Amino acid sequence: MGRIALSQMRSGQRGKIVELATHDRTILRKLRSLGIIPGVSVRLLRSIPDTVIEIGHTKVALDRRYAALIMVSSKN
Amino acid sequence: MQSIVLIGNPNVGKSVLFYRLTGNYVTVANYPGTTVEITKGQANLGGRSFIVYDTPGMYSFSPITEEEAVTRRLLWELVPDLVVHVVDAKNLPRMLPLTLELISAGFQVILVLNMMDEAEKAGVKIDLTRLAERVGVPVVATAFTHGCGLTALKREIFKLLAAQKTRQKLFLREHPQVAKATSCLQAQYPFSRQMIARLYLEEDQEIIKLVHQKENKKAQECLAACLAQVKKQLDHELMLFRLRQAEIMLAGVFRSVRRSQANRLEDLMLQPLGGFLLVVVVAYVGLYLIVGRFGAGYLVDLLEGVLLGEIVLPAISFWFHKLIPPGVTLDLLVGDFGILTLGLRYALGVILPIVSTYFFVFAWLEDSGYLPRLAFWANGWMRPLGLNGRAVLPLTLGFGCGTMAVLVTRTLESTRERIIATFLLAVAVPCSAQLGLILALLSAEPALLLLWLILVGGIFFISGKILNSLLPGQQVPFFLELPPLRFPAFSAIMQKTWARMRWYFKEICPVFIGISVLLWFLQQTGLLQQISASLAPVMMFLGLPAQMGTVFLFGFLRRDYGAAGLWDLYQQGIVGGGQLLIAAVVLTLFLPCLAQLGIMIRERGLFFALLIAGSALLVAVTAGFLLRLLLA
Repeated sequence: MGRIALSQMRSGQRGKIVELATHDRTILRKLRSLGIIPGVSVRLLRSIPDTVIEIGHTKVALDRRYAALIMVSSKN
Repeated sequence: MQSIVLIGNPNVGKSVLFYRLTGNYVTVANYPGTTVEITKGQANLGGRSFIVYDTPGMYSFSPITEEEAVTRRLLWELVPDLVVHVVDAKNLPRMLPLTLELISAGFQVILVLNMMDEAEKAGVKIDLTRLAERVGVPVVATAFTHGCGLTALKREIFKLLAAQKTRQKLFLREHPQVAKATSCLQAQYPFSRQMIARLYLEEDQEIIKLVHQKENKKAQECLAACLAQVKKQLDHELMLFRLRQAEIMLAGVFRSVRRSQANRLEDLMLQPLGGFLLVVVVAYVGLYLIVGRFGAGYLVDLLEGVLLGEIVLPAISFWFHKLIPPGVTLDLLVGDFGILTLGLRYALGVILPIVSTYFFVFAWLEDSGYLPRLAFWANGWMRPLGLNGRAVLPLTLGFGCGTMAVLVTRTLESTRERIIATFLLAVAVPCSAQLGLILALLSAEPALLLLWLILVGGIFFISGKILNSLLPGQQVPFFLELPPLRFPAFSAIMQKTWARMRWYFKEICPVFIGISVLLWFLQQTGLLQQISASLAPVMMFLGLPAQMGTVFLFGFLRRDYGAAGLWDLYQQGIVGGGQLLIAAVVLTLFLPCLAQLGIMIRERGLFFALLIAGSALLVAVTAGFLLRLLLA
């Protein structure tokens, strides 16, 4: 179990969101509207050309700059 | 009359429900002082009528976007008798917190779990009875695209409205700090005191102002004391609190068997190379075959050529010539630039088939889930232009109607992006009417068509890049939900196409008629010839015949008029070869049409609209001249 940014995960890897590393309210709310909040499990589906994650039953496409703010504890 | 408000995120089927409830008696209006549209209609259930409001997406009572703020204000001002919360069943854990917020704000709520069929396919099982018990409001499972569950939902709505009870009994446990602040409040509000207290603690400016007006001094001191104890990020903590609350309610009620959905087609769409191939296929089938060949070719021939040109207009013209003495009036109606012979003929004969086939293709792409994936794929291409993948939506719509596309730039987050997108739409995105005619003109000589494509595409990217470096600010990062790929329901696509067509005709038809009148006036007074003549030096500069002046003038009034004029000159053999290419390029880049300019002024302000139009003119003439030198 390591703590890494979502942008550092490998495709197919699962993890649990532990922290959103920003205080920018607009970004926090945007992420929240997509269900990206601490405690939720995610799976990285794709990192090229940009990040795609699966969260619950939803697929979400994200800019890498956002993915870098999402800290996860990863399982292998 | 009793009222119902529909609440829910985008893409959960809220609008389908709205149309199923109201039929087509609908009015769309901007919410006062905003650009956000609220749709309102009347529904009849069991002999009673009531008003239904469709709202833009809402995620929580703490708004981020203007849409959310408007939805909240609507709930506040209307205090509806019933709120129908429509959610995507498989994403219930994410959506339930808003249901709980609606309940805790004091509204009578029905929770609708839509897209139940997709949820089942994804391996989700929901115990509806226990869910309704725990949440304390009626729960209905539906699949609107197939019409499933609609009867049950209507029955439930009727039952609740007949009970004439508008306020929800509050039973949800509140966060201790909110509970404390709630007990300070004395006045009555459209929302429950719980909700007011929470928004106050989140330092919602609108609510703080209101509380200061309505509460006495003692209550205000009590609240201020509560606020002083609150941590900075309370809104985040409260959100987590609601999420946990929802999680507890869903324990043992919402089960999901995780099934990994590997999808080859989806993978292809998201890959750089596969995505590109798919764009080519979609452009070929959607734009070229359906809009170009079928809409602009077959349907235009049928409607404009045969129906209007050979049957309807000659008959009208015959009767008008009999009934009205020759002169100014007759010319205005059925002359060269007559309202009927030019305005109506273009509107119904040329524009209607082209634009409606485009809207049909666009609705299909929208509902299939391809557009968000296209946005993802294109994100990398958009970045150098200072845009992100979301800009794909207005830009692609621009190939249908630039005027409508400028309106849709509202969906972009920053003013900076809106300006860039508006510029690109004005300069380098030909609308479907123009595109159809240019394709028809140049397809006789594929080499010219290719050159045109490269030139216009090149100018698109270069001008985007220049704007990106000139404008202050930064590119906004991209985020977007990718809805599941699905085969769209035909009825839903038709409904969307129809709604857009109605808008188009309401907004654009008057412009057509106005332009006919203007052209008639210019011709009657001899001004048309004068303006055309004054354009002659510019035409010479571009190496084009003098008659092209009139074509460009037309092109400003309606872009497609211009292309149609070019078509006439080509047929008469006045323009050919290299000149044709120059003319097509300049016409594409030239000023946006009058209607689009009008909307640009409304949306971007006079200064930016004129700046963009001026640059378009400059770009067009420069490109035309350079091309002339190159071809010589």
